[in-house]
Amino acid sequence: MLKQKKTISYTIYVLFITIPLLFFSCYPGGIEYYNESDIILTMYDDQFDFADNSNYFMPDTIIHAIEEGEEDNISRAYDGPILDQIADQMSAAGYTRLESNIITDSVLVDSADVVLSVVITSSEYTGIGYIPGGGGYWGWYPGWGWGGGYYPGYPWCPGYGWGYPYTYSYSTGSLFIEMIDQNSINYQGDNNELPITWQATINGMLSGNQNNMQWRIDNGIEQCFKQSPYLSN
Amino acid sequence: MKRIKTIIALSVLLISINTYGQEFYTNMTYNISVPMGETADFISNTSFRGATFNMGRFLTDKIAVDMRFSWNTFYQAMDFDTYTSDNGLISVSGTQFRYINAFPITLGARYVLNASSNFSPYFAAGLGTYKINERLDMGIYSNEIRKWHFGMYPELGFFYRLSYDVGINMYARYDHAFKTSSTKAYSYIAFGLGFHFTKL
Repeated sequence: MLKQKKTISYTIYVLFITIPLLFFSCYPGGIEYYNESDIILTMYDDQFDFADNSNYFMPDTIIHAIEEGEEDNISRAYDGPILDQIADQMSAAGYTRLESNIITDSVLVDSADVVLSVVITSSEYTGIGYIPGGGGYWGWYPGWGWGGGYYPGYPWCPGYGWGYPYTYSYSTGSLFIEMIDQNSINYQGDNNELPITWQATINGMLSGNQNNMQWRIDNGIEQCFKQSPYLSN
Repeated sequence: MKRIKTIIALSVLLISINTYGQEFYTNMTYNISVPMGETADFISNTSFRGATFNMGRFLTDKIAVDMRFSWNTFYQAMDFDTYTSDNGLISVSGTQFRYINAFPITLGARYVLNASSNFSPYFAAGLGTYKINERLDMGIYSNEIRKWHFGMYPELGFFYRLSYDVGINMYARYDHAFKTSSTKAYSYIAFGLGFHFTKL
């Protein structure tokens, strides 16, 4: 009888310890691959007649938006492929690009119905995370190769008696494509707001692998047009 | 917080009632939970992460009262998809990761048949507060709603005695957290299997 009581007590202790441990070590994960951090957002002006405005101008350079006094650490390697991919998608949607080696850009802008502006920016995030359990599913996040990090959704349960803290840092990139109604631009007066008829934003974590980045950017631009069927002429 | 204090006060009151039998019991069970209703609209995956802890006592040979803590975690990684605003002007595409953590704290009563035999089926019901944390991650962005709900549960199950003070507890329980002014209702069926300890 005494032995049985001891067994029961032991079982209770084991349960008290193992149930929380099981919870922490099996807590479901989230992003596993860089491309799962990508989001593509589009919005448009439903009063604008896209079908009647099919000539567009797009500069042959991308604006890298950086803080004043900061260095531009965004690679220019993607600029050409990004502009090519946007041009391909615009062409497939029925738009004609105005470009010339002779005519100046300002004249081309005046002749266009819409102007596309392409801007890239990046941000750095750092913080302190906490890995409960210190093993199993969570254990391999810090070895991921992007500064040992995860994203701000975590940590979700600091303050427990096990696990270990870690620091993380990662960079995100955003690509903005803006379609401006050239005929509605107010070049005079105090109103400097640009009449944006369509805006697309691609946002995601930056990875070091150039092929992977290029693939994600191409997919992102394609998705911008796919989820904007009103653009098609 | 106020609800927790009320529940603790009521449970102390219940435990202090000196009545027939005085058999105390503790149940520790593992839960598998199937989301229902609006919960299933948000996360349809069955949860394999859950546990319930009960402490109670028999008031008569058939009726017992107890207090319960549960923790049920629901998770679903959605496929890459596009979500459009109601007015159709804004669309956002990405992979969503959805989480619900439900923490019911309830007081209940159970009616037990054949309490003195090895196999004792029972029906239980109770009410209390349900802390529900719902989180939606998309891209690098995360949105979490944490809310206390009022909720209730009915439960059908049985105790199977292995020895005079240890048994197995198996049940199906429907947990329902009513909607609040700002959040929806949550509901799921939890299937439980675990230990039932008794002490005279």
